Amino acid sequence: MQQASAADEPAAATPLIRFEGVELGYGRKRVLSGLSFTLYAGDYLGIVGPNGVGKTTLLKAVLGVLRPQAGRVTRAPGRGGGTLTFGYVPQLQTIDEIYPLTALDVVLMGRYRRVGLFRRPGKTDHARSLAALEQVGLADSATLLFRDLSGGQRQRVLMARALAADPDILVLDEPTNGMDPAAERATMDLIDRLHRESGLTVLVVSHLLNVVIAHVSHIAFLGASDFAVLPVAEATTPEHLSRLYGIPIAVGQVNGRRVATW
Amino acid sequence: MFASIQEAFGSDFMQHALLAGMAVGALCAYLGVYVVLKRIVFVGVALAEMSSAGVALALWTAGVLGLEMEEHNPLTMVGAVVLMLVGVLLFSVRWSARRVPPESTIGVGYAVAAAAGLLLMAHSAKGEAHVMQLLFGNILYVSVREIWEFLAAAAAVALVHLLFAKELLFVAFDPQTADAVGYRTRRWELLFYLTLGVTIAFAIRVAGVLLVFAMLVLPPVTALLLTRHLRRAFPVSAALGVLPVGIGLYLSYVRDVPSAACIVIVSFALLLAAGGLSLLRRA
Repeated sequence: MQQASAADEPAAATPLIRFEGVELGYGRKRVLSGLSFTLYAGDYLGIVGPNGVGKTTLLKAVLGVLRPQAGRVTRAPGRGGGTLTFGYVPQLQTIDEIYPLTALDVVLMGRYRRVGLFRRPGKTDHARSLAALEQVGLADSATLLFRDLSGGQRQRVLMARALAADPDILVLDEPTNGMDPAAERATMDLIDRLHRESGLTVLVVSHLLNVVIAHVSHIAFLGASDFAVLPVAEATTPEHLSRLYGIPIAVGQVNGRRVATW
Repeated sequence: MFASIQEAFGSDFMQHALLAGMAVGALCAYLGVYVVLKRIVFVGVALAEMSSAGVALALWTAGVLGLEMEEHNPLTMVGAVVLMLVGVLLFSVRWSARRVPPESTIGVGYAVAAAAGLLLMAHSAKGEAHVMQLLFGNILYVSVREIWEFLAAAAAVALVHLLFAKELLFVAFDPQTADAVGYRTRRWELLFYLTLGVTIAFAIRVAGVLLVFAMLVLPPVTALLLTRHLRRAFPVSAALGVLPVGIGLYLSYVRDVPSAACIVIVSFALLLAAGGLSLLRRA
């Protein structure tokens, strides 16, 4: 089993989360086993797998919401000294449109953990939320209702909410589902930029192979016989992918982007 | 034909009814915003029905034990709260979630509670009158002590919502993300249901199932039609829970018709007006 480090750079990156022989499931139902990998600071990791294979289960374990049934998960402390802070971007479809909240209202929720119990968001929180909206290019939409925004814009508001928390790790669950090419491009370019400019550690989970392999630097496949984090070039050879999926898969470059076809 | 307001509200019981109604209306309308947005309207009516079954159960138990208990006895409160808690627990567990949608538990709870209440009261001396009162509102018979009890419960509920408004909102709007960033979403959900349940249990004794349920639904829907932002929907809804009470009680006095029903119809009239306004705005 290969273990890849984020370091193309000579300096060793800090491990943030380490899974060792982890088994995940609910009650008697075992969903995933044999998970061993490390997420390093500054990683841009994509986890690819079909629906139903356990992506959500793995995410929950990464976030610390689900305890392993076997094996061990170790986490580094967050930048502030406490536990790791996650910026979580859920699937857009899970958000209920009916709530009459503005974009700023939604982003402000990302600050609630930092604000803490018994207190209200203050000027700093508002400023940070507006800054996050600016980071995603939606500063002008702060006072618009979330439900009046387009799908791509809503996705960006959810990203701003995750960023407003000043997270150690940005986690995105199927960020481009149901999007047209333009919106998908805009979303992934934004994630690329956030990773590049802020050195943010990014974890993207998706079932869309081509979306992931065109952007991330490391990739792991769920549902495959062995789960391993590999540099994307190594993991996306035609041989590896064909073996993984059991059908012939060709990989090429189009406009400088890695593309797989089957 | 039309009595003066002074005449209508000159008596003690009308004043008590007004106070009780406004308190119940305000609090239920506030919580109702959550109930409507979380799409748990049916839970509201089921909890109300279970609470009143709890009152019936307490009275029946008293009868069986040979105790004399009239319906204003504080022990009925125990019955209402206990059954309310049973309801909250029942509705939060996903029974056989794969085979049967969770929502059905709520329907079962409602139907069984309604039937149980009727059966328990069937042989009591006051029987049907009790049940009618529980269902349609005994706001004109409310005692001062019951008003105080409701106000105390309301104060506790209001305090919880004042302190934890943002957490409750986050957990309602996006429970998945709340979970992911470290909130114990289940506990916050439970806290919300407890505040809802306590409000309902104390309110039905004062106002009856019909009025309580109506206040959980009509004012919030009206408020959501009238306002664009959630921040404003809460206070507008509370105000809309208060306004119809005075008007409805006055009309019920003048026309000599059941008061709870009157209040509900006035509330509905406000809803229609808001709906009309909303349509006009769009045009």
